[in-house]
Amino acid sequence: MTYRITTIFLVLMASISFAAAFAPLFAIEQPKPIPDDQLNQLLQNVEKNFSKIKTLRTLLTQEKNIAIFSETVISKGFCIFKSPDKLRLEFTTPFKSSLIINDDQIFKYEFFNGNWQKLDTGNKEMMLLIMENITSWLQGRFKDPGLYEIRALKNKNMTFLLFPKAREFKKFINSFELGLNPEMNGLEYIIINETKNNYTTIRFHNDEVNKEIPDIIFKGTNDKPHPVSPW
Amino acid sequence: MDAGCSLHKTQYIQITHQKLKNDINKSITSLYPDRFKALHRVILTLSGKNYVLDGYLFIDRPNREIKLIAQNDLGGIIFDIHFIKNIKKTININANMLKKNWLEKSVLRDLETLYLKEPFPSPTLFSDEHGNLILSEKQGQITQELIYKQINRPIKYRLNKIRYLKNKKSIYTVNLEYGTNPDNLYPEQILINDAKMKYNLQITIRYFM
Repeated sequence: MTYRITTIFLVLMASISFAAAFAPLFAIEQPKPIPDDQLNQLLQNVEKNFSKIKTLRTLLTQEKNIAIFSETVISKGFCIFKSPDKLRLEFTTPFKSSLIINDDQIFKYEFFNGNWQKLDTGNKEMMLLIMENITSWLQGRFKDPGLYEIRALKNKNMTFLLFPKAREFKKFINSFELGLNPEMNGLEYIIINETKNNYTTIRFHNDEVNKEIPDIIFKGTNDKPHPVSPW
Repeated sequence: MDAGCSLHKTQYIQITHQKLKNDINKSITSLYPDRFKALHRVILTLSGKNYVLDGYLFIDRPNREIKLIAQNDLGGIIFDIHFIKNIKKTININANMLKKNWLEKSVLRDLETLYLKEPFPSPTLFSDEHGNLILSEKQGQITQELIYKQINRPIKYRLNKIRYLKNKKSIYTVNLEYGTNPDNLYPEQILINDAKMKYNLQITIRYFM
């Protein structure tokens, strides 16, 4: 159970994907909770909308707020997805790293001292499990009653709040805030509220949906990740 | 200079210049600012497998204090440490696979070695054939060596390696790499190898000063 929870936790961390420009979570208006009797229908609608994403390229900006730091630590990178099971998550600054999942294979690269290193990760099985969950998120399947309580808030846009149920999971995460775009067919941001006042915001921008993405960029057999053209 | 002695395959020549020895020994106290923050991107190699971690560090050298929050590279706090030498040692672990004792002997020891090291009580200074200075002191069965490399503009010495030896065999090394800019004051990369605990760390550092 602990393993599963840890896995799901990492899944959710890694599920930082997919869609348009950032909008603040709570604008001036007070967000309105969606009643429980409407929540299931809403989740079904979102899942239907998300299912239209076949490919996605999006830039991402990650802002980490760590309690012992007064500075916000900003990382930048990109995420590329090709349905049903190809994913590349790459950070370009301040540290370069690349995680590639291609069907049932996983490849991990780190840039150290001027060179890419292909890593033999010690947690491949866990990362493959992550892939299954990322796929679920990409398809708008946020509901997992065994893992967390889900609520929805309507402000300018729709926001889903996920609260972990299990004690082991709560050791890592207080809640997730998933902000949808106005069309409700993609994520604009994720806020990960961790414990001890640490939180991470991941914002997505410059996204391209359903454009041709060559398979070669998911190839992980080389000693460094295949280059990606900017967009 | 006195007659030479030999450690490993390198010929060391003892230097008796007291001021130089004192200056080199004391320089460990000014290796970093008194207080600073840093982000460590760490590749841990253990039993042939790699794990990537991000370490968010706060160092207060006058107070001998270290705060560390260690996250999985995908996010989520794996463990945190608050350490004040001889006063406080708090280690919180979120991932059950990690043991407090292991973290104390590895991560905390590494951080103390990097950031809280103090001058030796009674060291010996050597030079080698490359012009490096080696400050050495035996403590019990372990000989600790701090190796300083000569750099130019102006001529000075910069800590390049920390090495622990037992029976003349290296059991623990820390290599400090300062990047291509010769004026870099602080290491950009650090390599740590612990032969006894069988792990390697490759660390890339971003400072917040």
